[in-house]
Amino acid sequence: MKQYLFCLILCLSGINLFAQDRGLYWKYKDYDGAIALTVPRWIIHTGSWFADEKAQRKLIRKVRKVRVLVFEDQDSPVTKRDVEKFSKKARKRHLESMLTVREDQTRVEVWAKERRNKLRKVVILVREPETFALVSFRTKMNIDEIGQLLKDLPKEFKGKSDKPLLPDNVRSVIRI
Amino acid sequence: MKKTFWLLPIFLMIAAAVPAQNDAILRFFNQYVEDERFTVVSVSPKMFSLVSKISTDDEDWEKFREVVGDLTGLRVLTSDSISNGVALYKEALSKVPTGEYSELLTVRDGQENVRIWIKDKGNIIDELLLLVGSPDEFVLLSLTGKIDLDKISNLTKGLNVKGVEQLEKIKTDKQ
Repeated sequence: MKQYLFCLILCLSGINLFAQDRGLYWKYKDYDGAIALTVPRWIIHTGSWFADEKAQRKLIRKVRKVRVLVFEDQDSPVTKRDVEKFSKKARKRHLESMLTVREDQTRVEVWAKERRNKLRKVVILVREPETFALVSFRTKMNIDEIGQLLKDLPKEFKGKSDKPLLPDNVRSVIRI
Repeated sequence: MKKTFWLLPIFLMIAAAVPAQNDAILRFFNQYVEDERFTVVSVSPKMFSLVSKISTDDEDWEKFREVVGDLTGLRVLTSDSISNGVALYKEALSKVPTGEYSELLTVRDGQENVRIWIKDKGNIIDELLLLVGSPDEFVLLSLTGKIDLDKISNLTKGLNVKGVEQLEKIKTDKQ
């Protein structure tokens, strides 16, 4: 009986894994010119050692997995329909649209999933005629922790400059 | 049975009328949402709710959080390099359902026109609509939620979105 139960759990987890993210990243990661990378948690953790500020280190360590897909200086194969499909799928997976900015031909969309007062996933999409970028990261960051981190971060990270934050800054942050 | 029969169409008519109030402005927004001359910013209710949960010791942030907590949406359509800003302003102006909104503020400074409307139920302001038009600039801003006019200028520091700074005029006018 135990073995059956174990098999069932294994099968279900397999299905779950398969269904996790068969979206834009998986469709285009092997395309010509695509820069696609998945950064696992242990690399993120290691990378956090090089951060200068303690608050930054703390913030970095809250990120569990990062996926990046970039097409730069070429016609992106990602179509409008793909993005619409992504939006549909995202909503099904309880991701909610947080912010949409369009300036000239640049579009930035931020999606996020929050459950039980924790930020679980953030997806940022940037579309330009010759650039496409998708950044997706999983976290388990408590909302209160974000407040604490904001408090700990040095002033220059709190966006207290006179320049408008949106949309120029969103673009530059994503390009980094 | 008869009562229910009559109540249903009345209910349906009310339900249809409520979203229609804001339809003209929404249509105007949607008409230009893909126009590359404009910058479009749209903030969802979820974003406001998420931000309102983040508390810090920072005084400015707390003021911002206080305002944001009761907001449910923000849409901004703005352009600072167009040739027909005044025409667009007049077009948008003609689409404001004046019966639903009450005018809060009107400023005409040279060729720049600023108008702010509010939609309120009793003491609660549900929506704030801002229009700015000058020969080379146009701003349409729609803010929904429970809006406190005394605190709304705090949004300008926190949001830093083009056009939002016009909300400072409410504060100036009140003083």
